[in-house]
Formats: sequence, structure tokens, C-alpha cells
Amino acid sequence: MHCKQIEEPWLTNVARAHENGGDTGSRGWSYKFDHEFTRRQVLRSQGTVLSAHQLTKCKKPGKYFGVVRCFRYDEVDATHGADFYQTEGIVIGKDANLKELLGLLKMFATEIAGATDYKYVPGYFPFTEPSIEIHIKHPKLGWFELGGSGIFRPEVTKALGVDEPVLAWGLGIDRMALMNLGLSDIRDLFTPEIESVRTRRGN
Amino acid sequence: MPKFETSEKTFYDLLGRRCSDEELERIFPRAKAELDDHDTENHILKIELNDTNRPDLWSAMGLARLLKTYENPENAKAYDFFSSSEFTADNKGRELHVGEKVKEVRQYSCGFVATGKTVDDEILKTLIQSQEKLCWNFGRKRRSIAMGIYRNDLINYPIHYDGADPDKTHFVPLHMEEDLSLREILEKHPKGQEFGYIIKDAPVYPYLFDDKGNTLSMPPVINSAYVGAVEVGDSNLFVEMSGPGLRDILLCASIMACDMADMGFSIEPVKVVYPYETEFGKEITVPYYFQEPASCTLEDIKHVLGEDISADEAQEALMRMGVYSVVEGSRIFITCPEYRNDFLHPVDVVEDVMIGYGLENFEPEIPKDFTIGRLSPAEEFGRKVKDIMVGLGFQEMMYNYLGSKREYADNMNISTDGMIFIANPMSENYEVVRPSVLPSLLESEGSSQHAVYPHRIFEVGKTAHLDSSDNSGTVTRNTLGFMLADNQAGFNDVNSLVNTLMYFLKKEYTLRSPGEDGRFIPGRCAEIVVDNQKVGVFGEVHPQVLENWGCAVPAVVCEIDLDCICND
Repeated sequence: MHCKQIEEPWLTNVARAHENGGDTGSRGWSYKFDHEFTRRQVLRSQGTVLSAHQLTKCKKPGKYFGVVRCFRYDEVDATHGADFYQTEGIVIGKDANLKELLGLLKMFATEIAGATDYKYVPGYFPFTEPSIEIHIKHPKLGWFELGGSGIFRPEVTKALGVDEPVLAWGLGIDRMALMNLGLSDIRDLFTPEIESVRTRRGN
Repeated sequence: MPKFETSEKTFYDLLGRRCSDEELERIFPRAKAELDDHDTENHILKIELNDTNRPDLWSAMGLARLLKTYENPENAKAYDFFSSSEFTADNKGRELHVGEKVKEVRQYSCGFVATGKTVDDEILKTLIQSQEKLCWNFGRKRRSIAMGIYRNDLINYPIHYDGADPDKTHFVPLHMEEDLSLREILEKHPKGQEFGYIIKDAPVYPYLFDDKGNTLSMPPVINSAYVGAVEVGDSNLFVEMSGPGLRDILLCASIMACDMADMGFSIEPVKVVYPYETEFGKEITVPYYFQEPASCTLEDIKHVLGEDISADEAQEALMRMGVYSVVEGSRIFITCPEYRNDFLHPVDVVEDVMIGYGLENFEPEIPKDFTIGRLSPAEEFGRKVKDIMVGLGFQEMMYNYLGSKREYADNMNISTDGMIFIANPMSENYEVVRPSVLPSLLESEGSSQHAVYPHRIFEVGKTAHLDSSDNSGTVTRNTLGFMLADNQAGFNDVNSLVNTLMYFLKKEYTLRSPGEDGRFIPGRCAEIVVDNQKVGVFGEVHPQVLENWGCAVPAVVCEIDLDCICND
């Protein structure tokens, strides 16, 4: 299924950013942008699309977050669901920078996941540069990735009318919830069984 | 993410020292790499790379190159076999002639010779792996890049690359003994079946052959069984790439040439001659350096990273990443390494400065901008509804949003009208985006007969429907669904619950009889109407539906579209 149209001027800006960089200061990815393919409807595989949407109407400075369902083409097992939750957030500000991003990630690691040991690792996402992953140490499971983050590429922000830097992150919160509830299988989090939900209590 | 395997010996030899796994885990992030597995029995390291824009790192040679240079920039290697717009290396008469006819199907080809090192098992494995990674991940399953490696001793130069008649041209493909036409190879050879779709419908097929008419290959599908059958013991190889984009295949050739130089081969250029002008001229001597210079300013660095980094520090950091730079005023100009082409924007230079400087050297800070936060109206309303439902003694549930036609339509006694089907589902169990909360609730009931009655459960979640009036063709709604299951549960119970809920939500509503609705017992269900608009439905679940879900007691359910009654 295809949507009828994509809002302008965003579509033209984005197409130009992809093809030759447009006004974003980039040389672009040098390929022909496929307008037909772009209108195709897909289930979101991560929440970033909502942040991108918000950019066209954001306040500056501004901070936004969402907890949203995402969908992946994965074989369902103990750690993968066909759909799952991610929390998605952005911070827009003329002085927003890497050190502030690290500060926010630290807050997620220590305050929300309750980790005492955490580390930052350079990552790669096509829409952020630089990109940072945050990893936390679980007393039993060892190190694991809490999520990805970065500063949106100017090809993303400038095409959507934002000149300020935008810090962005997406963290898989089902994993945190599992830890908190003492569960070990993501399917138990979405269980239909009334009794197991009734008797469930947090750590 | 691309993964590759390497023997411990190969990797540690390239790195110049042995490392513990802890040490590898400490240094790998500099290359965005992860130690996926260490098979200590067979001495194999399995390594995953996260940067899909750095195909040069997807081999033991590329990864070791970066790590070694990071530790000491003096370890950086200079590769002296590159030609460029300003310099042309001696190709010693070796040429590859590209024809006019192949232009429409797969325009570009290029190659080089690697010699002076004897291929052993390990080298053969490494070469095949590099070929697979580059062509599968970076080359989009051979669509944009395909690579062939050939026995150079058997080649009579010049080599020719052109479009050939699919039926009149024939050769013996690798791993077969039969002489087949190009079209037959697509039908019969496993690689033909796998990659044939790339060229199948073209009037001519890409064909690589030497001056005496010996076949090298049919790119991007399969090598010949003779010139294209590289074996242990060979020491003189011709490496060729083909694809629809010139820059992609030149980059790929550069990566392979640097990797093979690191393996101990000596790289000898081949001049590619086109019948027309390309963006790099009619004649390109390969390996060819085509990358443009990139730059960033010290202000860019300060702005993005939030740290005052001097020009000297920035240059030092870039050196550790294998990137040579010069400073003019406050601007840093870099020379992109031959094997990379990922500097699109100044921020890409800044990232290399960040990694070279060391992520551990940046002190986390809390954002200085103060902003006021609040929940969205839909979220606030949803929470209010949840509070009321909990107050009414209902237990909150959370369900998956993908399910099957059987669950959402067949079990519910309704048609699939308005339901969103996924075009390419993983399995038919996750084929439909949930149109209603009610099937989820009844699934709970069906699998909870051991739980003490009554069952009072609800969910506030999303449902999705086709809607041709919406730009996207679909709508997603915030929806409340609740269920009461008990021996005595009946219409009056659910009617009274709806009344209470609407009272606390301050919503005036009326009821009307729904049309035909297979989910409910006729005459024991109602539609909720607010401002002449249908906002929900409730009633006693039809016995057939209860049976479909394996429910043993009567159940009453209600579903309300919260977006319709939210006072936004």
C-alpha cells in the first residue's frame, strides 16, 4: 500500500539531501531517490520516524520523548518479539553537543536501568553522526547494549528545517522491564495469561 | 551487520601481537567492531562490524590496519600502486577493454593483478570471504558490486568485457562439467538461480573473456571452470569487479588491493579502456584514487563534541584513525584514505576526531537548556481511563499488535474488511495488524481457565484500520478494550460498567442497536454513540466466538475508541 502524498517541502528537501546533499552541506549519497518506493507504507522498525516527524514542528530549544511500539522481521524467541517497545527521545538546542548526549545516556543507565557500571561505545546509524551506543553491566548477564544514540546528521535536520543540533536516542525498554520484573523471556511480558499477570510483582 | 571469521594467527600476525579477549573487547570499539565469538578449539575469531559504511573494515586486514594505526600512527601503511587524475601508474601493457553493448545491462568493469604470493588454504578462505562480504552486504547482493578472481597465468591480454548473446555464447561454469549457454547457466547453475534475476531480462548478458576467447566469467553470476577456478598453489591472480556504478566498483577494487597488499601480494595495475568518456575519463588505471578531499573547522569540532580541541590534537586524533590532514587557518583538510569513501559532510570528519581523541576523554554533562515538559493529551486521557478501569477492579494487560487472520477474523465471526495485512509477513501468525483489542482479551480468557473467577481485564492500546480517506490509507486509534468473564456475566454488567466509565469521563452518550455483528449475541449488544458518532460497542460474546477461543464461561466485552471521546 502507498500513501497518497508526502508533505512538501520536506519530500523535495529529503530527496535532494539523498541525491546530492541539497542545502545541507553534504555531498549526499549520489543515487537516484525513488519517489514511488518512498510512498510505500511500512511498519516502523524503530521510533526514529516519530522524532523526524516532530522536527518539522518542534520548539527550540525543545525536548521530546515517546514510548512506542516497533515491528521487526525477526523470528520470535525469548529475546525477540514481532513487536516490542522502544523509547525514543530528542533534545534540540543551539548548544546541544556530544557531552550533553553522554550525560543523558548516563542518566538512563544509572537512574532508569539502575546500572552502576556503564560504558560508551562508538556506533553506526545512517542518520546520526557521531553515533554512540550505551552498554550497561548486569550483575548476572554481563555487558549488554541498552540502546543507540547520536546527533542527527545535518542531512536529516536541515532537510526538515532545523538548523540546531539535535541529540537523539532509541532505547529498548522491554529489556529493562524484564530485568525489573525478574522475567527472562520477552514473551512473558506480553503474555495473555491472566494468572501470571495477576501474581506478577516487581523486584 | 557484516560478520567475518579469521584464524587467530592471521589476525594476530597482522596486528603484530597476540591479545587476550578482554584486550580485543577493549580495542575493538575504535573500529565499531565486536568480538562475536572466540572458538578457542579451532582458533577462530568471529567478529561483527557495526559500520555498514566502512566496508574496508570487514576483513582481518582492514580491521588490523585501523587498530594498529590507532595504537601508533607510524604503523600506517602507504600504498604506492594507486593511480589518480594526476598520476598514472605503469600497467605494463595489461588492459581491460569495455564494450558498448554491455552499457545497458551492467555498465562498468575494472580490475587489477595481485602477484608474488602463493595462495594457501587460509588465503583462499580469506579471499572468498572478502568477496562475499563486499558483494553481499556492500554490493547489495551483487546488484551493485560483483567480484571475480581469476588465474592470471591463463589470461591473454587484453581482456574484454561486453554484452553477449545469451543463447549463442557458452562456457563451462565453475563447479560444473557441462558446456552451457549463458541462458542455460541462469536456469541450471545454483548461482544462476540465485543471482540470475539481476540480468535475466536484458537483451545481452555481461560477459568477460580474454583476447583468445577464453571465458573468465559471466558477471555477476559465475566464473568459468578454467580461468575462473583459483586454487591453492596459484600465485598470480586477476581480480575484477563489475557493477552499474563506477565509484562503487573502484572503491571495492581499492579495498581488495589494499587488503591483498597487506596479505603480502604485490599489486600490479590494469588499464581499463571505455569506448566513451566516464566521469574519470576514457582510460582508468586501476587501482584508482578518486576520492575528493573533505574538511571541517575547529568550530565544527567544538560545536559537535562540546570540547575545545586544538588543531594539533585534532590532527593527532585523525592520524590515529589513519587519516592524514593539513591545517589552513581554522580549517582542517583531510585526505580520504584510498580504501574509504565515507566523508559526506564535515560531521563525518568530526566523528573520526572523536574516536581518535577517545570517547573516554569526554566528560558527560547535563543539557543546559531548561524546558517545561508535559504529557500529550492522548496519553493523559489514556492514563485517566486506566485509573478508572483499575478503580473498577480491572487488571491491566499488554498484548502484541500483530496476529493472524484466524485470531482477528475467523475466531471473531467477522470478515477481514478494513483489516491491514502485511505484504511480506514473517509467518501467517503475524500477518495482520490488530484491528481490535477484543481478540486479545478473548485469547487471555481462553488460556486462563485455571485462574480464579471472575476475570476482569482491560487494555488501553492501539488498533489499526484501513481508511481510504486518510493520506496514508490507514489510521491508528487509541482504544480501550475490557472484558468481564464469569458464570453470571451478562449485558447488564457491561452496560453498568460503560455507564460508570462514561460518568467519570463526563461524556454524554446514547445507545443504539448495532447492525449485524457476528461477535455478539443478537439483541444483547449495543453501540455507544457520542455526538451522533459511533464511539464503541459492547455486549455478550457470541457462544460460537467463545467456543472458537476455547472459553468455558460467558464473557461480556466492550471496546471504545478513545480518540473519539478525548477532550483534546
